[in-house]
Amino acid sequence: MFKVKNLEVSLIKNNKIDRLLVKGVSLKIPDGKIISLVGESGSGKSLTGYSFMRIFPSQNLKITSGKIFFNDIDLISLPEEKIKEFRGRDIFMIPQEPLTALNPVLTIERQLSEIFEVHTNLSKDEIKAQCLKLLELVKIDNPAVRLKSYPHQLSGGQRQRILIAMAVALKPSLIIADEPTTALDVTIQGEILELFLELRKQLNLSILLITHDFGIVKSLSDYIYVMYGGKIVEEGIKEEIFENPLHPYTQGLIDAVPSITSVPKKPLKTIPGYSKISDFYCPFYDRCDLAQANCKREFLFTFINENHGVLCRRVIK
Amino acid sequence: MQKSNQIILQCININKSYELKKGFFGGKIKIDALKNINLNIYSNEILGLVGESGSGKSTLGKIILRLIEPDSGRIIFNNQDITKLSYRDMKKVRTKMQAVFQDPLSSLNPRMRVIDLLREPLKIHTKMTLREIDNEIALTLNQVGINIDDTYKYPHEFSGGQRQRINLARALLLKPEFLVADEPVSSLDVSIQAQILNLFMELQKIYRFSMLFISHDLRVVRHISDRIAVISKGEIVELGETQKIFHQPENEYTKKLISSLPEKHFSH
Repeated sequence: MFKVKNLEVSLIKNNKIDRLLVKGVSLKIPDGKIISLVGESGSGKSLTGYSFMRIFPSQNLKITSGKIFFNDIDLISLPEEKIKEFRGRDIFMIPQEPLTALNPVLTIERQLSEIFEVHTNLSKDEIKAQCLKLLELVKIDNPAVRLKSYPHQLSGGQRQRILIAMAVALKPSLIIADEPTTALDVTIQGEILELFLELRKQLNLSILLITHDFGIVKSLSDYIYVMYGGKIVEEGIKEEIFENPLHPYTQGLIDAVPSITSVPKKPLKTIPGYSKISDFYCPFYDRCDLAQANCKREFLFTFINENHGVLCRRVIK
Repeated sequence: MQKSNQIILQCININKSYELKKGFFGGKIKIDALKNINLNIYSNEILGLVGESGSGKSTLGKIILRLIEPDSGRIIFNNQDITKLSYRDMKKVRTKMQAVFQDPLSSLNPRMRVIDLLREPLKIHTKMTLREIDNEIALTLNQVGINIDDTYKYPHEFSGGQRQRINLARALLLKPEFLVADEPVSSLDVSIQAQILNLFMELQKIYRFSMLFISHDLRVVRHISDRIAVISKGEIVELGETQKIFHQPENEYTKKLISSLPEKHFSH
């Protein structure tokens, strides 16, 4: 079980906080569940994911407040030496561009073995056997041959499978998958998503799925968090989010995607304006049709039932 | 949008292959990017071209625009064979044939103000005075939802959605009869995607251009197109009315594409 409490990630300039990018995010990832974090670029969804590993794409990004509990251990207060043990072993992050995440000059075997060398005391032969088993687990044909291959000899889908193999190598408690299928072709996407579902069943994994694609969210997740402007604006079980979306942003996002049941050529419902984050308390204030003066001031994240919460002034009675 | 029976663009037996070197000492291997492409696009029609990466869909778009030359085959535009046209003659055709590409930022020269980027096509292709040009620009910008006062800024000062609006305005300034749109919404956020798709549909009604809409996203293609051509490994494997492609696909690959949509794939 992972629990994030009031996480804040900031952009640091000259040793001072320049801007808050993740503004007090709280979420829960129970064992064996697939949790989705949905949002557009700049929403802070990837930074929230990086926070579990405490690695950021830029040195100017830092966690400035909050806690991330893995069972009872607060990962954020751990010294750097300690967090290293958790990375890769308990938490694995599949980065956003899976196709460039593999080292082009090392064989697949070398890259897979490294994980076992660092984190276990297995012998060479045992490691090799483990690697083979992993490739079988992620359904790569001819695993013995593929171990000797270099990344460029594999297709995009196969490389993504290798990364998933690395991710599950040490049977971590949590896999963070940042846009795991965005770079892949449609026909491969389905196969990879199916693999996630299967591995979850076999290994009782928790998966934090970071994506902008509501189609994927709908098909995979148990519980959904919607982010906008660094805040969680709505959360709930799948049925609640899709059948009764309460936040104007969630409603807009769901309507904005043409689906295979929508009426062709009919103008799509749109969210007005550009991805602008408001400086007022409600980050969606500037784009919201229903905004009122009191949305500018702080208000509470409200649960309308045990499975559905929203950050919107309108639901507060 | 009722499509007429008048053909505006015809691709006849287009072939294109690339040669790849195989290792240091190995020979060359030939890769067929396009094989025997035959395609008609009618006036006032949106034809969706859908396929996966490497299928040849962008190559076809570029060949139609004559940005790359085919190995063989002909392109007929408005009853004129444009395949062998000289640079100068092609220039005249280009006023009638415009393009919008995937990455809205790299399509706009970063060193030019947006107003100059928009003036350029009219300066090159028409004899309008600067005042007439600016009037025309104001009209078009109004239609794509960009404020004329903002055009004295540089492209990087705009958001992705705004940049794509600018690209669309620039393409429409010359009142083209035919537009190639290559993944025009793929790099945009979902909420912005919808705005731009609506804009394409709206402007198509006003300007009545035909469009080849290239995309990997079936849902988007289904929404916007009158007909759909499915391309796989350089060949058009199925072509038909949008409804028919989705309800009674005949080709195995088309069926696979449709069933791989998350909504279909996991609908238990």
